[in-house]
This record gives sequence, C-alpha cells and structure tokens, in this order.
Amino acid sequence: MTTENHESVGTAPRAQGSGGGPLPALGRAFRGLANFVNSSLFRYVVRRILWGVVLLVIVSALTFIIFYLFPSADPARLRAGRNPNPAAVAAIRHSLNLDKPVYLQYWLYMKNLVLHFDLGFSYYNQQAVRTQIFQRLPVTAELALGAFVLWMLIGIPIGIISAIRPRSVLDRMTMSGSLVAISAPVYWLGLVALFLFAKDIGIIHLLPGSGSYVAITKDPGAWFGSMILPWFVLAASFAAFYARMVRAQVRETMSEDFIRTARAKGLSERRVIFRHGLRAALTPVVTMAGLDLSGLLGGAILTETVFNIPGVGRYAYDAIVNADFPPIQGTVLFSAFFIITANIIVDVIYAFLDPRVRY
Amino acid sequence: MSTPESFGRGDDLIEEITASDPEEIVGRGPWELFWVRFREDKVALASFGVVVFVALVAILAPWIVKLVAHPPNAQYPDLLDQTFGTPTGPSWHMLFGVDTVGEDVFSRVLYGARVSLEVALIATFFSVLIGVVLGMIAGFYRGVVDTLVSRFLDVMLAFPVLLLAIGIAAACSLGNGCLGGLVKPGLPTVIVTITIVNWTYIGRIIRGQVLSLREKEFVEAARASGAKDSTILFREILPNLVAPIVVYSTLIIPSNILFEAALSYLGVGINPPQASWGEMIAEATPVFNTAWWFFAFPGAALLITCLAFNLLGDGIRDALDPREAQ
Repeated sequence: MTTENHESVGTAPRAQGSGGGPLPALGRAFRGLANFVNSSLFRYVVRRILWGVVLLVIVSALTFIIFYLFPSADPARLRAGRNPNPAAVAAIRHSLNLDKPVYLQYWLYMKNLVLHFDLGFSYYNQQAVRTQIFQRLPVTAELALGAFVLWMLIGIPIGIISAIRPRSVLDRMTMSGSLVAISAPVYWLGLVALFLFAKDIGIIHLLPGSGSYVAITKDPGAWFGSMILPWFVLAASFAAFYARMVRAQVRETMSEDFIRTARAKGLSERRVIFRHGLRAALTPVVTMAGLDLSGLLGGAILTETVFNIPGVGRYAYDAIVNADFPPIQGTVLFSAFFIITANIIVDVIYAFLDPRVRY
Repeated sequence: MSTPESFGRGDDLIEEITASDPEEIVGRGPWELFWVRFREDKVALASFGVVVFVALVAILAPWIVKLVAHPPNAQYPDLLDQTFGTPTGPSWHMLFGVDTVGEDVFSRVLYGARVSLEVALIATFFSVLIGVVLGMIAGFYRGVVDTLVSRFLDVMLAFPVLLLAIGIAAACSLGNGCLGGLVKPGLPTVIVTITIVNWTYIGRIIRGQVLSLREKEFVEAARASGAKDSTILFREILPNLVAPIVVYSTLIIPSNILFEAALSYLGVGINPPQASWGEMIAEATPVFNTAWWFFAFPGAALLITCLAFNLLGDGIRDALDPREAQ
C-alpha cells in the first residue's frame, strides 16, 4: 500500500473522531445512510426481507391447512379426557375456536401472533407455547452449536488434507470413513455410542448417557459431560459430509487459473494453498454451514429423541404425536424463521462480497 | 457437474487407448466410455455387488426364511429368558437372536430389506419423475411456470423437512389413511411423504441444468431447423439430463432408505407387525443395553445398504464425469 492510500484512508476516522465536531460527522453519517438507502443493495436487502416475511406467512398457512385437513387425532376429544360425553367435547371445541371455519381460525391465530407475539396454548397440557419454546430453544441451540463447532473442526481439516494429498492412504481412509458416517442413521449411532460409552450401562463406563441433560446454569461441568456424546453423534454425519464437500471444493479451486498464476509467481505451495486457494474454496462451505446450523436450530428431533434431551425437536415431535396443534405450528414457524433468516443473511453477504451477483 | 461437453470426453482414456494401440482408434459412445471406466473402479463394482446381494435377499426373503429361519411374525415366547422374560442372543437356532416378543431377528432383518428397498425405489422413482418433469418445464418455458415452481421450491426449502414429513406421516398413519382413504397407512403413506418432501431436491438441480442447456448452440440449431418444443425437450435436452438424473437417483436412494427408517423409528412410518429396520431399532431402544443384537443387526443392515448405494453413486458419477475423479 502506498503512502497516498494511507493518507486517504486515515482522514475518515479522524474527522469522525475529534476534528470536525459532532454536526458534520452526523451529516456525513446521514449522507452515508442516505446513499445506502438509495443503493440497489439496500433495495435488495429490503426485498429479501419482505419475501422472507411472505414465506413465513405461506409456511404458517400451509402448516395450518396440512394439520387442519389431516389432524392425527381430534384435539377437542383429546382434551376431554377418558370417556368424554359429546356435549363436553362440543364445548371444548367451541372454547378452542375449533368449530369456526379454518380461515377464521388462521386469522385469529395470526392476529394474536402479530399483535401479542402469542403462539397460543397447548391443547394437551394448557401451557403457553411461546414459553415452552423459549425454555427449550437454548437446549437445542447448545446441542446444535456444539455439534457445529465439532463438525467444522473435524470436517474442514480432513477435507483440506485429503484434497492436497489425493489418493494418499489418509485420503482413502478418511473418504471411505466419511461415507460410512453418512450412511449410518444418527439414532443408531446414538445407541451404539451409548452402548459403548454410557456411564450407567455402557461397556466402558465413560460418559453420562441418555436422559442425563442438566441445564448449563445449574452445573456447567455435568452439562458439558452430558452433551459430549450427543455432540459427537450429531456431528458425525455432518463432519463426513463437510470433509467430502471441502475436498471437492479445494480440488476444484486448485485447478483454477489463478492458482496456476500464484504458483507461477513463485509463491510457496503453502502460501498458494492457504492464501489463495482456501479463501475461494471455503466460501461456499461457510454458506452451507450457516444454512445447516440454522436448520438444526429448529430442533434435532432424532438426536434429541435418542439422548432424551428436552429440546425443541422433541417438543415438536411430542406435539405431532399428540395432535397438539399450537405447539406444532409454533415450532414449525420458529424453524422456518431460522432457515429463512439464515438464507437472507447468506444471500446478502454474498451480494455484498460479490458484485456479480444479480439483485 | 456433467455438462454435455464433459460427457463424452475422457481425454485420459483416449490417450491410454492411443498409446497402447496406435493403429486402431475406435470410436466409442458415451455409454461405452462409461462402462470402460466403471469396470476399472473396483470399489464401485464391489458396491454394485452388495446392492445386487441386498436386492436378492429382499426378493428371496420368504424362501431363505423358510430354509434357515422362522416366519417373521411367528413368536417363540419360550425362547425368551425364563426368569426375566428378556430376549436371548444369537444362536444356531436363532441366527440374530430373538426380540422382545420372541420373534426371529434374522427373518425380520431380511423382511426389513424388502420394505427398505420397496420404499426407497418407489419414492425415488416418483420424486425423480416429478422433479424432472417440473424442473424441465420450469427451466425450459421460464415465465409464469418457472416463477410458480421456483417459489414453491422456496417455500419447501423454508419448511422444516422432518417436521413436515412427520406431520403428513402421522396424519395418514391412522385409521383409513388420509385424502379420503386414498393414501393408506403403512407403505403408501411413507412413499407419499418421502416423495412430497424429496422431489424439490432433484427439481432444483434439473431446473438449473435445463436453464443452461436451453441456451446452448445445439438447441438453437434444432429450433432454427424448425423443431417443435416437445422435440427439443425430449430429443435434445432430455438425453443431456440422463447423466445427472442417474447420478442423483443413485444418491437419493440411500437418503430415502434412511428417511423411511427415521420415520419408522419415530413410529410414524412402517408399524409392527410389519418389519422395518427403523421400527426394529425403535423397539430395541428400551432394551438396547441387554439385547445388543436387536439394534445392532437392523442398524448394520441399514449401514451396509446405504453405504453400498452411496459408493455406487460415487462410482457412477466418477465414471460419467472423469474430471471429478482425478
């Protein structure tokens, strides 16, 4: 970088800091904001967010229709207890608004949701859905984030090493190993892990087993111990998938012209790989990772089931089995919200980084 | 990605052939080239063998069971542990042991192969069919159809897949099924559920491919020589989609097998007395620490079958598109 460049870069923060007083700085900030508002990027962001909201409305409407058309049981009867009399069932149906036409039910639901952020109450145990979801969301997030860190730490290095040394013993072993991990059902892996390592029943009494979840606020040590097996089990197939994806990406990038140019400039191979190759190769991987993580935040139903972890996925599953509509709708909306938000963030970052993206 | 350019290429192979046999340069079609490459790939051949083996086991299950085992739903309570009533392990009499009600795990694993393959193949067929048709129409005609299909794909992408599947499956698993008895509980429900969820995956890929194919010179040439839309779609574009369709179909099969198993594991797929690997693992869960054979064998069957399909799909892809393999 030349000195000239240094100067011009240096002026902006100085003016903002102490030089020009607060008013001009404010004006500049305002002008910058105005520029941004007028820019096509901003319009793109707004359009994406609006479309995201539309998507959420469609998803909620679809969920409503699906579960209204095919309820797995009659919610009113479910609530009326054993041997209900018809009058009681009808009264409950009325009190739950289930006797109204479906569009009116949907309207009432959306009204409560938008005006009061109220997701309704469980038909089954009369608890507020919002409270329940917020109680369980941290648990699912702990599970998802831990697994995420693990699979990135395992998958990316393996993928890079395999790509740099293709057909080596390590490459062959990790790539076939990864296919095994992808082919194994996660709940079965969970059982195998428990069978081998659970403290109470495992062959090697190593780690806390199923149903040992403790809130992190209560006992961080016990929490960590109880999450180790679920983290590894959930991360296994993701790590395998990412190793394969990283390998493919890196190999593709390393055959591109700019890599040849970098080599021709006489850069060391290490520099070519780390400074030039990986940067380009890992961008789509990071994108994918964001989407996968957001998908898991909606609940890892199978892993939560095997390890008996009180997360959102388990909640949604129980709700479906019990024909408990409000929690189903709530959890579906929450997961859709995570997925849509992650998609928007990823697309906007892309548009921001790569001017060729059309928007 | 296999594009038409890469399809018939195989520079390395041509070099190899010319080097060994300079006089005779044989013209080879793309499928011949595919076969030559595929034959060299030992792993792919072996996995193909395993797939054939699993298919044979599934087809011949009733006869195998008659010869060496017991009917899948016959219960032998006297084989349960006499004091505790718990399952007993593998023996010469019961190759994979018995389950909690005294059924032969070996026979149930064999019969589970039937369910797995049936669901996976039929669901894959329908997902691919719907995905290819809608993807081709959307990619080729653009306009309103494309907007509708793409927006629908967007909505499906935003849906939590497993929740949607569990919802549909749970709704259709009771009584007479759903849609006025059109979708019966059991196999049909699972197949419909997987198809609804899965076609978007292949639809997205096909749409993208068609979008780029329709701009190619050979399509332009066909149009210039007066070909109808249907001719262009079926004679010009579809042949170029065969490679991706074959590859993705092979790779979707194992994920559909796992999907069926997951639904059955959660109790909204195939239910007892019919045997399914996922359902068996679910039943084995409460006793898994004492009866390892009950969850180990169905799980191993799932693992081996899916692994074989995954390896086979990889092999087919490498043989179709040698650039990926090197």
